[in-house]
Amino acid sequence: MKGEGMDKRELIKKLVREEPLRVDESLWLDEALDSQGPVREWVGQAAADEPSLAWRSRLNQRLAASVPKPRHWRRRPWAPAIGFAGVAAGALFLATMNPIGKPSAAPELDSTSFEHKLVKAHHEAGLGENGRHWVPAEFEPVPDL
Amino acid sequence: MNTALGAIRVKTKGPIESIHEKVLLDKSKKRDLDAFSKIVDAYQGRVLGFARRMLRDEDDALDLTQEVFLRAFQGIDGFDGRSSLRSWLFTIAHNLCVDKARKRARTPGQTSIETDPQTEDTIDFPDVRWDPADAAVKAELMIVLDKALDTMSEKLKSVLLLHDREDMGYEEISQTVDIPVGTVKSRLFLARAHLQRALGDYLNER
Repeated sequence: MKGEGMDKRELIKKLVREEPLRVDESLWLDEALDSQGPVREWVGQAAADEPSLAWRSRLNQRLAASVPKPRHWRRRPWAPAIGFAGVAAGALFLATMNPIGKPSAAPELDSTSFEHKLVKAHHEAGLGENGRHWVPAEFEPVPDL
Repeated sequence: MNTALGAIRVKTKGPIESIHEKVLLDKSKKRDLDAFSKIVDAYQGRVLGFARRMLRDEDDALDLTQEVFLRAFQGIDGFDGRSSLRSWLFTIAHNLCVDKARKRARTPGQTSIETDPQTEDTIDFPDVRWDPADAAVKAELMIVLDKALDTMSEKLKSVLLLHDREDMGYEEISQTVDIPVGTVKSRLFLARAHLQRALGDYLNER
C-alpha cells in the first residue's frame, strides 16, 4: 500500500473530522477501500427484507386514498339537468340584453363630402314646392269630383 | 432475515429496466396506481431493509417505508429524471431517517442513532480474511453484522448500506445523501473498518 511514510493515526483523525485530504492521502484511501472487499461482500449478503401482505394492503389503501376521486355523474342524475338549465338561462339573458336589432345612428357626414351632397340632392328632389314630400303621380290624391 | 409482520410475505421483485421504469413513471404521473404498484414491488424490500438497519426498530421501519412510497407517489410530478428512480427513493428514505433520528434525539428516554461511537477515534485495521462458506456460520455472521451495524453512527451506516448493499456509486451516494464524494469515501472506509473490527473480535472468539 502507498503512503507508508504517512502518519496513519493523523489520517484517521482527518477522516473522522471529514477534512479535505492531500493527493497522497486520497490515493491511500482509494487503495484502502479496495482492500476492504470482503466486508463489502458480507454486507451485500445480508438477507433481503420482505414486508407482509397486510403491510402492502395498508399501503395500497393509503395510496388509493391519496388519488383525487373522479366525478360520478351517475350518482347524481339531476346534475346534467341543472347544467342544461343554466346554459338555457344564460342564452336567454344574452338574447334579452344584447342590443342586436337596434337601429344604429346615422354617421355624421362632412358638409363638403360627396356623400353629403348626394344625400342633400336626394332630399331636395324628394320635396315638393310646398315643402311636402314628393310622391309619384299615380299615388297623388284624386281631387273630389 | 425474517423481519416482517404477519405470516405471508410479499415477494420483492428485482430492479426495473430503465425503459420499463420510464413507462411506469409516466403512467404514475397520471395517477395510475397499477403502474406505481410495480415500482413499489421492485423497491419495497430494499427501502425497508435500509430503513430497518438505519432505525433499528421494526415498526418504525415499516411505517417509514410506507411514508417513503406515499411521498414518492404524491410528489412524483416533481421527479425530473435527472437522478435514477432508486436514488430518488433512497433520498426520501434517507431524509426521513435523519428526521426520525432527530426526533428521537429530542425525545427523553430514546437513544439517538446519530451519536458517533467512541471507537471511531481508535480504529485499527484487523486483517479478517475468512471465507464464510458454511451456511450456519454465515447466518451467525449476519447476526454479528446486524449488531455491528446497530452500534454504528447513522451517517456512516447510510453510506455503507447504499454502497455495499445497494451497489450505488460514490457520485450517486453523494447526490442521495448530499455530501461531497470525498466524504462518501471517508465515511465508507470508517464504516467498513468498524465492521471489520466487530467481525474480527467475533472471529477471534471462535
